[in-house]
This record gives sequence, structure tokens and C-alpha cells, in this order.
Amino acid sequence: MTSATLPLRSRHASGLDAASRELHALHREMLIASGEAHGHVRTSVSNLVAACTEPDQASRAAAALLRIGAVHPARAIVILARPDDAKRMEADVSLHGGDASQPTIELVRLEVGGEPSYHLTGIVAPLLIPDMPVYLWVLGAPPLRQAFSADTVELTERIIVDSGAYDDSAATLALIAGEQHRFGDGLHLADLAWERTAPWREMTAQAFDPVGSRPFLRDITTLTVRCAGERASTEAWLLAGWMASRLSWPASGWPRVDVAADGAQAEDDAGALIEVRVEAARDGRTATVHGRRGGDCLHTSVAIEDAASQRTVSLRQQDDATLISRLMADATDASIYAAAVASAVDLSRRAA
Amino acid sequence: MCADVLTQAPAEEQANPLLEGLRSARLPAPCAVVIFGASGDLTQRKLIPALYALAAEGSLPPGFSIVGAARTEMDDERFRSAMRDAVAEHSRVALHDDVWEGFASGLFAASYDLDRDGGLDALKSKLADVDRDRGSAGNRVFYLSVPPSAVVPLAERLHQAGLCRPEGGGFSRVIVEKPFGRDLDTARELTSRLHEFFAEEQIYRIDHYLGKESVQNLLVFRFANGIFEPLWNRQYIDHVQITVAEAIGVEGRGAYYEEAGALRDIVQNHIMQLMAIVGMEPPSNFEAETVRDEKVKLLRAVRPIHPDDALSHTVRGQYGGGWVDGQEAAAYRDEKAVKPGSLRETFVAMKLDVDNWRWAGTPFYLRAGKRLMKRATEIAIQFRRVPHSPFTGHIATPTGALPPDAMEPNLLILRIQPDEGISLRFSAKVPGQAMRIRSVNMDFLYGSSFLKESPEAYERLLLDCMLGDATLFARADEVEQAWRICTAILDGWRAHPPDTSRFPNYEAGTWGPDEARAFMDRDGRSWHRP
Repeated sequence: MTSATLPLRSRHASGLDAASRELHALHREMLIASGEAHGHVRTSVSNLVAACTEPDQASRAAAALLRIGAVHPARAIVILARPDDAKRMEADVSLHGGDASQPTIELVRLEVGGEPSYHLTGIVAPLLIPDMPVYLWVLGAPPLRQAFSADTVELTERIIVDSGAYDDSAATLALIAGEQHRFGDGLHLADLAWERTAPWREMTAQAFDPVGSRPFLRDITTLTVRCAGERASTEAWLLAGWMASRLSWPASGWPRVDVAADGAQAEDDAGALIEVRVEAARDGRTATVHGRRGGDCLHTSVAIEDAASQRTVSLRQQDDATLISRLMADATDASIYAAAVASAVDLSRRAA
Repeated sequence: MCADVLTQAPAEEQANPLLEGLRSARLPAPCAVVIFGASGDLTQRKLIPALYALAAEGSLPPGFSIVGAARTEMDDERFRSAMRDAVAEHSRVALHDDVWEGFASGLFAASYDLDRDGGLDALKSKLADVDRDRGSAGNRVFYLSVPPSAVVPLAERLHQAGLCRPEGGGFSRVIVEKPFGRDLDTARELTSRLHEFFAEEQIYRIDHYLGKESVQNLLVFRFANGIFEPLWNRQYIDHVQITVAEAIGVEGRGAYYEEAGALRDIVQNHIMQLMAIVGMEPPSNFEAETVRDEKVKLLRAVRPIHPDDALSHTVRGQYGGGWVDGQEAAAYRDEKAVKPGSLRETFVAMKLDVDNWRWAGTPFYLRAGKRLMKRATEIAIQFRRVPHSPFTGHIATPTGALPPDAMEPNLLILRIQPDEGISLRFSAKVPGQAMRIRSVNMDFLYGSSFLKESPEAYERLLLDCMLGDATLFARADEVEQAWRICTAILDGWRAHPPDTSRFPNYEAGTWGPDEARAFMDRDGRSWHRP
């Protein structure tokens, strides 16, 4: 357990008003403990809200949010919604941080039972730090459509989902494409599965970036994408969809696109990308870019005619906290994701 | 290899639509970085670890190579082995066997000899091999981590070897370290000689301060926040203080320091760069030339201290023995390679006026020193007092002393290192029935607000150079303007050398000589205590 996960101070409260009061009291305790002459400062850059339906999800979310808070100081609210339980609203509030005099994260764990579980937006709103962006992370795989209610979209700067958490990749991508169409620019969606494809997208883009290689981008003949597990994952389809949308396929005819799983049993990394191969031919010349995962590294080889080069980069951590931290720090262009989803839907339909 | 493909390709085929929106869009073209002085300390502690970190994080292209050039013979394997140890010891990013293997496959060694014609033949041959085998297409960055006296001869040899202007449309850049001369004349001479071999846009004068996140944040703080810029002028700011304090001594570099001193070592480069960033006008964009134009304008507006005024506008100091960080510290004159009667300054403080619309009447106080009480680099912006206080007699003081007639002025501190952050001092009412007022600090600490590890300054600067972005490097005219200011002081000091018996004039572990305090007292001001 890191110093950030150990609470500097904590309290329990029943009800929303009490939770706010106790949070204030914790800050006052900190101030008194540190001596008024020094004071203590709360630096926050966002509100992080995790919506969960199972206790183990809530624990996982709290641990991840504390890690995120180390990079993006925030108020973190973990809501465990239990609509089938008796009506109740119990909160544990705590302050965490790497430095005893300066908390970097305020954590509110809120367990909501009964009817209020269906009105989470109204519960969250009073607990938010005003004028700070709100990131809503929908954990696990509840019916995805719930995340896209109009009031949720209105309240949040970004809704974070993991399209890879659902069984049917094609249906999930089609649903996301539909919601993006419905809300247009009003829906700001972040997809952890898309984030996991980032090193592979970077590898492919960088391999074709030397000026001598760029013309080959217009003449790709084959794209092969392989993922771990027993079925082609959303990650695999998103990567293919990204290539298709960025290169405006089928402007000059479709290349051969082969998206598949390796068929092996995968425990922890089902759906993870393991290999990408791009082949191109132009004016009698050939280019091949091959990326392959080996352990926690991505090995790349680029062969253009006689010249070949290799490199190995560390595959950045792909856990939830790291991915969310990264997208909060440096969000990619939403329109690129939206176009990739739309193309992925097309490609998966063509494959079917 | 494929240059003909590109030249024949229409414009849309020269684009790479895959890069759009990616975080790593800043990827340099394949190139070879040649480090002269490859067996030196900087290479092992900073340069190679920085390049390894860039490679591990995917910021370097396939085909990237490093050629370590040294006067002594070294084969590739020995060089790789030494650099592996250096990465293991000094890199911000942990050594990973697979990543290292890929990185090491692009590491090569070559020897050179400045004293004979053709002394760079082995290097040239190695670079040709690298181009052929790794596709670096003639792109080169030469890092001259060599003594100042070797810079021009090395540039000349590079020129003779035909390496300054590669054929085939590649790039050739040279990174030069400080000192950029010893005074204005020698700086101009150095620039002039370098321009015989390299165009100005090929020359990257590195000042690692500019690669620090906190220095870059200074630009963001000033030009991305609307609330401060309207106050950032003579109307609201009483004065500015820039302090670069070091707790360490000369650390075995006595011979160098005897030649340089605090003015040349710190003020001419680091402090002048900080001053330029604090005082410059807002640039219209963040392009290298635009930003550097504004910095030069500020430096050009600094009123030079007339040699006759050097004593009244500056303070010199030299440390004697004392205690720093709980350790006994020797006097400067007792350091290795320092003359027993040395008059070299280890501390300097000065007041500079800026003759422009924004800063007229608002002085900049600069100070730098070794063996001071603590290590601290910071900029203190002291605002003017309120013109009238209705709270006279209500002011609480930390010591319980009689309240002053006026409240403490607002103070904005921009801390560069350590404890990077920003604090703002303002007045607040002490809770209670009575009207009591006291100063409070609002602190923003990078370290505990953003725990994400910042890249090392050299990572940013090396990557920028490979990308051809010179924003964070000093241009020739910046260097000359900084020397114009410092040379006037050096001339004055030369005309009025201190009495030998006056040095040392401050104890190690203090904030410098008493004269520095008196210097500020005279203006009715005081140094901020970092």
C-alpha cells in the first residue's frame, strides 16, 4: 500500500449533508494539526466519479482513483448503487496524499440503497467541487445505455467506459456509434479499450512517418490484427477501424483486412492486441511494418525494400488508473475515436 | 533510399494522417546523435540516460543511433557496456533488458583526433555505416560535450570532413554548451567562428535551466493566465528578485571556477534567461523565433551598469569556512586548485534597471552564490503596497512586535528548484471579534499536486533539437545581450578590484555577505528568504 492510499484522516457519515460536513471537518482537523501559521492547501483539478454496482468494483475503483489522484489531485466519489437493498445512504470520507500536510485526494465512498440508486446524478451533484470538470467512470459491464442518459451527459465533461468489457464487440461498438450519432458533439466519451490501442497506433504511425515511407500509406494491401483470447476484441476492431478511417478506406479500394483472435485461452489479457502487420506495395516496391507484443514490450520491425530497422519500446502500463490518468492529462481528439468506431462497425459487418 | 519516391509524390501523399491526434506526434526523423566527449561525466550521468528514457517511452524513431566519439580508442561493445552501467545508475526510467537490447543495437563508438587532418575519418566512416544500415539518411546532431577551447577546432574539423552540411536533404545540428565566451568580445568571436561552419539555425546553445518543467511553467503561468498579466508591470510590481542559491561549493572544479566566478557561471546564462522570461512581452505565438525575439528585446532594454557604478550597483562575495547542511565546509581559498589569495567571486548580487514602458522604475535584483544557506532557485515578484490602509493598528505580527503602519505587500514566489511551485502571499483577517490582519501564504506545490514524474531537462532539450525546435535554446543575439550586461560589470570590477583582505566576506552556510543586506537596505527593501 502506498502512502497515497493510506488515509491521512477519515470519518463516517449518514446522508449527503453529513458527508459534506465531515469532509469539511477533516480539512479543519488537518489545518489544526499542521499549525495555523502554515495552513494546508487543497489543490484539485477535477471531480472523479466512479459508478459501481458491486462491492468488489467499488474497492477496485477506490484504489484506482487514489492512484489517479496522485497525478490529478481531485475529489473522488465512489458510488456503490444497490437498488434492490433497503433505502440508505452511508458515506466514508477520507483525505489521502503523499504529504501529511497536503492531501491530494478527498475520497467519498457512498453506498446507496433502494430507490435513490436510480437517481445518481442528483446524489452526485451536491458533492462535486464547483467549476471543476467531472469525469464519470462506469465500471464493469452494466447495460451501457444507462451511462448515456441526458442528465449524465449534461453533468459530466467526460464519460469513461470500457468497450472491451462486453461480450459482443460488434454490438457494443454499434451501440456506441449510435449514441455518438444521437448526442453529436455533446457526448464526450473516453474508452479504455481505445486507450489500450494507443501504443499500437503510435507504433504504426511512427513506422510510416519517415518521408520515404509515407507514400506507402496510400497503397496498403493487407492489414492483419491479432488479439489474445477466443474472439476478435473491440481493441482489435478499433485498431482496424482507426486505420480505415484515417486512411479514408475504401477511397481506393479495400485492402485485405484480417481481424482475429489467436484462439488461445487467455486469463488476464483476453482481448489485448498481440500482433499487427501492415503490408503495402507501390511501384514495385514493398513495405512491411510488423509489431509484436513480447512480455511487456512492443517489438517493431520496419522493412522498406532493402532497408530494415527494429526498435523495442516499453509497453506502458495498461491498468485502469494509468489509462484514465493518461486520458485526463492528454485527451486524444474525440472525432478520431468516433470515426474509428464508425469504421470498426463497418469492418466487423463486412467480416460477418 | 526513397527520397525519389517522396519528390515524385503529390502533396497529399507526403502527409501522415495516422499521426493526427496521437500523443507521440512529436517524433523526430531517424538520425544519429554524435556525442563528442563520450567518456565524460555529462554523457554518463545525463545524456545517455536521457536518450534511453526517450527510447523506452517510444519518443525516438526506429533507426535512431548514437555514436560516442572520444579521443581514446573504444570499441562498440565496451562503449555499450559502459553506457548500460550509466543508464542503470542514472536513468529516470528503469533499465529493461529488451528495451536496452534495442537501444544498444544503435550505440556505436568512434575515436577522433583534432590535431591532424583526417582526424574525423573514423567517425565519418562510422556515420556512413549507420546511414546505410539503420536508415538515418544523413541526419545528424553533434553534441559538443568538450572543453570550451575544443569547440571551434571541432567545428572546423566537422566542416573539413563535410559533416556540417550533409548531402541529400538531411539535417545537421550542433549542440554547444556554456560558457559561450568569457565576455562580449569572446562571445562574438565564438559566434563568428561557429558561423564559418554552421548557420545560426543549425546551432543549439544549451542551457539546461530552460529544459526544466518549472521554467517552462513560468511561460505558461504568465501567458496562459489572464489574471496576472494586467498586474505584470511597473504600476503594480515594486521590484523583482531572482535568486540562484547553491549549498554546494566548487566541488573539485576550482580551476574552472577561478576562471569563471559566479557572474559568468550563473548570472550570464541561467539568471539572464530567467530574467528575460519574467520580463519579456507576450509573444504572439510559441514559435522559436518569436519567443526568442521577445527575450532579446527585454535583455536589450536592460540598462548596462557603467563601470564607474559597478561597485554601487553590485556586491561581490567569497565564502569562508562555515557549516552547511550540518557539515563543516572549507573556505573557497582552501578548495583544490584555488589560489590562496584568490579574489574570485563566489557570490554576486546586483540591481538592474529595465528601460522600457513595462518596467521603468521597477528594478530587478539578482543574486547567485555558492555555499549559501540552502539550495534554492526562485523568482520573487513583490507587489506595491496598498496606497492607503484603513487597517493601521490592526495588523498582527508573527513576533508579537508592535504592528507596523502598513501591511506586508503581496508577494508572488515562483520556485524553480527545489520544491517547484508557486506561492502567493496576501492579507487575511484573523478569525475573532477583533479586526486583526495578518499575511497568509497560498501554496501550490508541484511535487504534491502532480506526482507524475517530470522528464529530465536533457530529455526535453535533446528531443527538441532532434525535432529542430530551438525555442528552449539561446540564440546568438540573446547570448550577446546577456554578455553586454555582464561585461560592463566585469569591466567595472576589473577597474576596482577588491582589497585582498576583504575576502572572504561571508561565512559558508549564510545568505552571503553583509554588504548584500546593506545593498537592499539602501533601497528600503530586503531580500526574500527562500
